[in-house]
Amino acid sequence: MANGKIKADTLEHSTAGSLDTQYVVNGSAKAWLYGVATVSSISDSFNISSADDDGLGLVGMNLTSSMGSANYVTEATHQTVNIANTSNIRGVAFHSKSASAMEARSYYTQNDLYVLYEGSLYYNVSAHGDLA
Amino acid sequence: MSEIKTDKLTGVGTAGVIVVTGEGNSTTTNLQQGLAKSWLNYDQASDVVRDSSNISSVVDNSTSEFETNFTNVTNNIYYSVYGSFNMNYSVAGALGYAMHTDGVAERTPTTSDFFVRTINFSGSGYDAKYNMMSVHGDLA
Repeated sequence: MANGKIKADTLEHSTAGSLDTQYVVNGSAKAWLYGVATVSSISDSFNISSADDDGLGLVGMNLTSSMGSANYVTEATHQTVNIANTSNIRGVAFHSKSASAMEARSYYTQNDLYVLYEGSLYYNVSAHGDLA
Repeated sequence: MSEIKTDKLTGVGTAGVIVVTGEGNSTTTNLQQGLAKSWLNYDQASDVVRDSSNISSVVDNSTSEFETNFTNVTNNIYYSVYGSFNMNYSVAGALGYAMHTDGVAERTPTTSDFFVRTINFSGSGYDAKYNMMSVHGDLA
């Protein structure tokens, strides 16, 4: 049986309400990744073709299907080995984005300085926005 | 304007794959893969779940540490978790999430739950009033 195609503006559930399909298209994540930060390997992902080790604390992620522009939204958190016994604040920030790739970097702060590091175990990353 | 009334959408070729045309009309995206599999708005200071999707319970383990349980489990432990939270005014500000750790050791996520810790300026635990989290990955 050939796969069909449905064109509709609204989806309606019998009890849970209805939803304009624009929210399905615009509201769906266009990419996500769960990967090992230190070796840039991918445990599981969607719309990510590869991950690169771009240097200390820097991980590049390439999109399989490109976005329409670089104006998409990225979210990230990371999993540390152990944050006890330290005053260093650690986080993940996005260093650069293009329509086909994004680069995140993990860091800590020390004495008001921003220092790259590779102490993260895993990255959690997602992207929302418009596909090309 | 057309409207579909249904309680369930299932792919024909593969049940778990329905493609949707992207905004630019030149690319398709996988509907199931793009959907958030869970989200949560949780007040740990009062231990109240304000609203959620696919969350059966949240266990307030101790200051700054809570465990989030799924209603429908994931297919593996490699799902992606994100969060943001507020600073509680008049008390030490919260600065970051440390997923899957209790501040001493790794708390490996499972297909049915994950562990969250919020930390403040000094790196110690802290209860945030607004924890806003979402999960992407594969459902079982």
